[in-house]
Amino acid sequence: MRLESGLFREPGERPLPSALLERVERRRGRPRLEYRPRLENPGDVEQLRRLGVPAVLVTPEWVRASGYPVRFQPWLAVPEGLADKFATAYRILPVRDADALRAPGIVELIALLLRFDPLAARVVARRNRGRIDPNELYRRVRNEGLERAATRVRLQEIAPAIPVVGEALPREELRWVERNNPAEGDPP
Amino acid sequence: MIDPEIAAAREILRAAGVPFVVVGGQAIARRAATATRDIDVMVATRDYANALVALHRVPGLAFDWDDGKLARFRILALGGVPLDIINSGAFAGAHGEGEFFDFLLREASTEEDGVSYGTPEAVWYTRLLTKRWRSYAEKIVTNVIDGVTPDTLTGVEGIAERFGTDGTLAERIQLVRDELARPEVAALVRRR
Repeated sequence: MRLESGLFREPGERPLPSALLERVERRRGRPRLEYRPRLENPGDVEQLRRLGVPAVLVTPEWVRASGYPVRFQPWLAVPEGLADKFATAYRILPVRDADALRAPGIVELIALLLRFDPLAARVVARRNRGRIDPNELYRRVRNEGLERAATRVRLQEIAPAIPVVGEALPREELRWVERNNPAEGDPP
Repeated sequence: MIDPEIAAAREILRAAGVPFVVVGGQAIARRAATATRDIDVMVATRDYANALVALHRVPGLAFDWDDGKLARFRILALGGVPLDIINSGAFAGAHGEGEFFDFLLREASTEEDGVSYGTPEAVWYTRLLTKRWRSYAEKIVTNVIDGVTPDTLTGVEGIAERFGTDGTLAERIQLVRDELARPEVAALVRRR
């Protein structure tokens, strides 16, 4: 048996934009209409968010503005139950805790980065230390089961409550990564 | 279109008259849509000292330090982006110092816009052979998530065998393979 989730129109909700949400063919016995978002650009993601779907585009612009100068193809972070429900060329990053995608800030960005670029997560965390609530970072890391990745890049230095799981990278190597990647606009 | 960081490095190194191959993240970026801004270029051991002398004279380039294996400059026009000049001798293993650079230039690089870029196999080989190989192993995992094929590790083994560094690299390559096999990493690789 498996638990299925999907996107359905609420009773009384206005008609949904058909360019953004294509109707999934109604299966026998299914009482409600299911929709599949078709996302091609950041504007589509924004429009979907306005309809109440917690989807977040993790872009290099966001990471660069947070202090780590990097280029990568954007990821679309979505609740894991909906991970296969999107028609999109974006890479999908399934997230356990949908709440993390409601109003993502720096802590949520760090948790998302831990999934695919832990070194970037470390540098962003260090460069935004003053804006980070350690308890919130602990909670996000725990909720996503990211203790091992967090330990690897020593996020306990910022959120000491994160349980240590596995081996940490040597401090000197982490300092090296940071020195190699000055934030854009940093004085030389 | 050539990246501004690479264009700047190309002009600087051409002015210095030094043959070079771009390695590191900027070389990986030819195969996968990922890169940081810092630039790593490898030069032959025979050219290393002269390269540094020439680069000291280039306006707009600030010198940071040199330990004989690697020298760091900063490109001021790009906000101080690091330009690392790497002495290829450290990667030649049991062979003569000049052999790794010759191999890189002739067999393990591709040319684009007048710039030679190391292949992912050569870049990963150099990364795993440095003293900071653990954090570079982490970067390799990110490279695979971003689109470089994991089979590249087989090519790394080939280079290591050729230069007699396979004893040092075997355990490091296995560690990368173990990381790539972790379910959370494998799931992202499948989704790319």
